[in-house]
Amino acid sequence: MLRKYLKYGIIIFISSIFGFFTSSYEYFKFVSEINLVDFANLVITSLIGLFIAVTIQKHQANERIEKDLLISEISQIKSDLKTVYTNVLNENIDFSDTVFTFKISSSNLSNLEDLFSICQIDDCQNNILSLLNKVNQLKRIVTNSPVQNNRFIITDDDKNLFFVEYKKLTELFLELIVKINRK
Amino acid sequence: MEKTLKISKDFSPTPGARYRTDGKFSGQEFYETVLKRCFEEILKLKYKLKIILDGTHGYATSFLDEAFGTLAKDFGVDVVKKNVLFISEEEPYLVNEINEYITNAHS
Repeated sequence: MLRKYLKYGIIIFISSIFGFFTSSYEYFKFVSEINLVDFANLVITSLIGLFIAVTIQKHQANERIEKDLLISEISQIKSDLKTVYTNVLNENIDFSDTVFTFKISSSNLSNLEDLFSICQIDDCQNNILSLLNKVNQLKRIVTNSPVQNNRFIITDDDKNLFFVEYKKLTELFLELIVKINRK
Repeated sequence: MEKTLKISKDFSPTPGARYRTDGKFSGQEFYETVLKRCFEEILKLKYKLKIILDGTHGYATSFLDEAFGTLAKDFGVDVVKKNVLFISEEEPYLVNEINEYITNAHS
């Protein structure tokens, strides 16, 4: 607490000394005359500054909204696939739910490609293609397995392969999110 | 001329797994009761077969492999590729996947 007040005290002290010397310096003295050209110059410069600040801020805000939208779409796909991961982990892979989740994930990834184009982020197509390939690879591992009582029966080898590929998938998702944020 | 086969309408909106023993609406059942008959018909009439994949709950790899792989094994990869057109707006990636099963059925 004391340190905080001491910090402010030092700042006020240094500012006062700086203020004292600058006001004694002749170029910092105010002249009670207004030069119209300088005044107009000041107003125009301020308006230009204000215009640029507002425009850039608005543009940046719009970009952030678009990025957040893309990231939320990606997060939804990620979360859907995590359900499959959990089910594989627990060896409780319901046929209908799993097939439907893969369908929705692939479909949403394809739609994401269009969303990227709308947001004018064009160089992420390879990332989406890699994600689609990986999701399809995971789908093949799981949904090519035999079915018993409406549940996929997955072998240990396939299970391990699924985990390896799932890890790669999460890395691809992360890579894409980082890429979006760096735009 | 072409004949259209919509799997969700002409077979089931919830296609199953590979074999009949796996449960209802399997790839084997689809091939034996719908696809084979349809394909023979279009070959006879010299039509093309347009297969619409949309509208279902999703496809297991085993279903697609069994149905279209068997079709390619029975009629030949080239004949199938020449006469069948797959349409999927919901999952455009499926078309490539099925073509892969058809091609691999040859080996």
